[in-house]
Amino acid sequence: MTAVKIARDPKHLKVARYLGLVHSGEEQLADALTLLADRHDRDPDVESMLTKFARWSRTHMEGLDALVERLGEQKSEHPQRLRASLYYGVRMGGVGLIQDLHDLVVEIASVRVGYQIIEQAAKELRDKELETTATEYGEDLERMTKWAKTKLKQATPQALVVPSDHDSELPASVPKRLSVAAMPDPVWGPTAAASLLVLVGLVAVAAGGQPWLLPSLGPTAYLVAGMPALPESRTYNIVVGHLIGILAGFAAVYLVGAYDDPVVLQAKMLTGGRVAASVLAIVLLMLTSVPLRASHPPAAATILLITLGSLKTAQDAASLVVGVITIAIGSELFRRVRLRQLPAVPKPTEHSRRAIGT
Amino acid sequence: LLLADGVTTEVPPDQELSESVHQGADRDATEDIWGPRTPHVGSWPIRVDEHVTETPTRWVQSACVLCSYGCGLDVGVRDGRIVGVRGRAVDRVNHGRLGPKGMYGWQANASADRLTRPLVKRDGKHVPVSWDEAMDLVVTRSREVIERYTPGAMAFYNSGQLFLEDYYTLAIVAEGGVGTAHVDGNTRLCTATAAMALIESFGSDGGPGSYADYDITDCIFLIGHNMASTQTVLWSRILDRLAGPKPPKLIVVDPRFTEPAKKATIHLRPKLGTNLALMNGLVQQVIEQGGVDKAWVDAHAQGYDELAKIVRKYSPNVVEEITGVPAAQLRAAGRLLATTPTLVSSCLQGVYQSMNATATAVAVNNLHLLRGLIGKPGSTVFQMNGQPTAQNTRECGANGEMIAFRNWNNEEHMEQIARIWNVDKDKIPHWSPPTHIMEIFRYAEQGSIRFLWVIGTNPAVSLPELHRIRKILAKDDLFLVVSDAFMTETAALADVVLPVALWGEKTGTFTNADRTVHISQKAIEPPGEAKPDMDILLDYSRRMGFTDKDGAPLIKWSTPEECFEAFKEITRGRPCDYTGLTYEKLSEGSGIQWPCNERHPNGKERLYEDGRFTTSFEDCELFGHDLETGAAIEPEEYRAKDAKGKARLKGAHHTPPLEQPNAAYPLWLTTGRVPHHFHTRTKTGRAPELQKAAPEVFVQLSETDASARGISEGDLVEAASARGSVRGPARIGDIEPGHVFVPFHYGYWDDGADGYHRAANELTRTSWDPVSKQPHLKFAAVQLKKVGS
Repeated sequence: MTAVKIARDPKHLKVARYLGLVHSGEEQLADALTLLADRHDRDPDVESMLTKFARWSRTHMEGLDALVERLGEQKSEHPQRLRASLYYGVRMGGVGLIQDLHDLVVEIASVRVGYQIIEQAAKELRDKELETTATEYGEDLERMTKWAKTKLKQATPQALVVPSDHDSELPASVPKRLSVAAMPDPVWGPTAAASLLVLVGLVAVAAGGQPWLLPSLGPTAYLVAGMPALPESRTYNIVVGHLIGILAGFAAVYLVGAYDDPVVLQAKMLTGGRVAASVLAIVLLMLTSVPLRASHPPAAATILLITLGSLKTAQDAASLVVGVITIAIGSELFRRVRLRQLPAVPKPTEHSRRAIGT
Repeated sequence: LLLADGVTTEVPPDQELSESVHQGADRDATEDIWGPRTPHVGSWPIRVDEHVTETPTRWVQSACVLCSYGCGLDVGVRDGRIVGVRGRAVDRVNHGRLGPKGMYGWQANASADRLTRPLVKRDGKHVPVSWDEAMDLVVTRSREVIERYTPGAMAFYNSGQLFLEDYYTLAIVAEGGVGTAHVDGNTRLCTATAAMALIESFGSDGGPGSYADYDITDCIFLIGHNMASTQTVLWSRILDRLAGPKPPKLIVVDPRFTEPAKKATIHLRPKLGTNLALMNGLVQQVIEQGGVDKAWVDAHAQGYDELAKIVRKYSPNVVEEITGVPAAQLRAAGRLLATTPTLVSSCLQGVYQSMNATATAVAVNNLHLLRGLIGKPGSTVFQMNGQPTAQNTRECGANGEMIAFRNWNNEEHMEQIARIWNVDKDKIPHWSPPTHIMEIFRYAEQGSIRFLWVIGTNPAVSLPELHRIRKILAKDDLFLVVSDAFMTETAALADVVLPVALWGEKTGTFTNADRTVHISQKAIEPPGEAKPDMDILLDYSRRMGFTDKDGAPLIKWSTPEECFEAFKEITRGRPCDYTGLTYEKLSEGSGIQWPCNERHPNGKERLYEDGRFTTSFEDCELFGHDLETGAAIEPEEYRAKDAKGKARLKGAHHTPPLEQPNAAYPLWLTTGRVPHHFHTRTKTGRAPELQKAAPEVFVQLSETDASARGISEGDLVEAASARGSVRGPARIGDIEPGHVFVPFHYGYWDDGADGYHRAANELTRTSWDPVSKQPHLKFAAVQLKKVGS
């Protein structure tokens, strides 16, 4: 995620950034390819080819490991952000396939250009191994793109122009193997958000009615359920984000000296001190969480809980921490299943790598 | 002397046969499938086979339509009935011989259950109606669908059993009249890969060789081609070579101990779905053992370095690991292939319906190109056809390619078609590849195709995963028209059934896998109101009011001969040039190969003799594909590396089969054919001798798998995949352990049992080759159990 393998040689420093970019890019791509293969399993040509391409991507990831060992890398959030804006909504039937392949071409192109950039740097470095790898992997991605364009060319006239009845198209579009990854967003979103709150609620009630379900967790559940691919939805961001929020909130209250000001919602009154604490806290939050790559917008709700006085004691803070950890555990599982990282895809076997090329 | 003149001749007395002619006479061809030996090398002796039930009063010239070999035969007629057949001694294909299907299959014409009147489904029952009423319904529905849902809602699925004239009429109706890209033939199941492999390597469809190459070659290489079952007369040609002086070496690739395998010098038995790894290994051996004709390759082929780089990874050990073929055996086969002075190879369904189909077939082409063994006497590659007239489905644009091997992605080619038809170029869909049948069914499943006309084929038995196919065919929003001679499993689901004339009941032409064109004259009248397919399509076109750009009727012909003349024009200058042929000329001799034109007035025996291929941008049928992904090469990209007449050497890596045995389904299933039946037995199941010889489906398994499950010969066993199950008596032996074989011919029209447990395609999977789109019918994972004694 935020892994950094420092380049030992200064001339590798910036190349390492790009290695990290394509490495993360391939990770995102492999998951997306597997997801789309599941989603469109009623089109067996699409399913089998995307499964093959996912295997190519994973083979690339392993090949990159050796280069990273030698040159270092700095992984990037960019591919994740790009991924988060793709494959969204109800992607079913003929048009759903067109939309997904359209998005896929965009995602592949980003990694493809990454390899072209590395190829140029490799030439300047006179690094043959790096150059060959970048060229070869880039060509694989080019072949994926050409496949997607061929399929788009074939499928588009029918999908976009020839009408079909809903009650005919729907059953023919539901994936054969029902899986979480293949659920359309409008079904998945509410289900996941509700389940996350149920999870925290059940744990809290089972623990004797503990106050662990707090307002900050609402936005967290919404984010994870609605936008699981965003870096902001990662477990690290959830936990670290909310922790920074707690620290920033209390720090601001103490620094401004607003601890004894009335609690806003109880007193129905807002003091200048609490406003100042809120402003200071959100600045502290953003100043620290962004460089730590722990951005998590719901942490801003945590801040206001503290700066407005609703959450005052160390015990209150502890309740929030328990709630955050509980939802984070649930989120990790939900996110991985939704993004088609689980169930895990078997690694390419030694046999298939050696004998079968890719 | 022995020639029928095409219409009527007196029966030639047998004593007039010359000394050199062997009389195969009327053997029991169900037992003695390949007939008596006539050993030879160089030129295959004549042996005239004949089977009549009564003495004919006249003989009518024709050719057999029950396999792709294409034997010339005469139809014996008496009192307006077919009473027998006789091989044509002078025919260039069979030299008088006939196989069991040819000898007995004609009896289906006289079956009591022929369809004789159009039928329309009312309240779930078929009722006879007049032609007017049936065609009115077809036309009304067509118009409705086109107007409300666009021509993209219309689809046509035809056959490898019609005549050239039927196909060409269908092509113009569907593409120039309706304006749909959804036209395919069941050739998709049998020869799509053959066509695509020829296109990828040589730039255009069209088998390069001559069957006569088998008479002189030093080595025969059969890959996934159980010729003894599928082309029995061709197999007897080889048996005669094997029995004669200087017999050829025979290399056979087959997981079963088939007849050819039993005669083989080397029998390679790769695991299912690993053909490509094996072929890559063999190509690598040929390179390694110095078999490459470097000068020829430099002058006549493109892509050597890329190919060599791919196959380098396939060392004998790696190949053994993937395919199970011992490294020493691979080396031995490689040595033979690298050194034989001449070579004839032939592929069929074991390649075409399996994993990596096109890439494997292309690898066989590569072998010939590397050795420079193509276009020379005794050296060629046969990308074999499955059906007798499949070549015409392809030539006429009725199977998803464009007419006369034109390129849909080449604007100039499309303009030529539009010009000849006198229609607007954009009337003919050419902005995407023509839709293959599995995709047509997918669109019908999704509800965007609402009108499907099935002509002379039986998808309800021959397509994979039949429960799904039946469900789609029975959909309420799909209007199904079926033209057939019998109430097939597909016809039973149709909204309208149109009775058609069979072979022998109409005149037309067709072409076999070595480009030999035969004429088949009308011998008898069709029963009842049955009509030739061409006439039905002409009637449809007229009723639909299809016109050209100037408002004249779109189709200008009304007889088969006029249609043939029109087709000749559209082939002018193309590889399949028919311009030198006429009905008259075809009736004089017995089989003439294309190209037949001013330059080659008697046809041309071998293509590419000068090492010039049809690969230039301007000529080629397609720009080709990435063989591993199926991604199309776009025009600009092709122009940049235009092969300009050189053959294209193309390689691909092995992809493991998409489905493999697992804990629940531990065995490999493969499907195939028996010598006595054709396709779904629509005709052969109605020929008493053939039906008696192979009356029932069976499940073939190894001794090992049988004893592990307590199964004895003849026990009732059930093979089940994740999709369905088949029950039949066990047949033990002649197959590798871990493998199960079920013949695919048997459907339900004559099945007494309940449910759907007879057709092999209940078990097969919905998936296809990425390049040729041929379905994967040759591998699936199954479980096996005994269900009765």
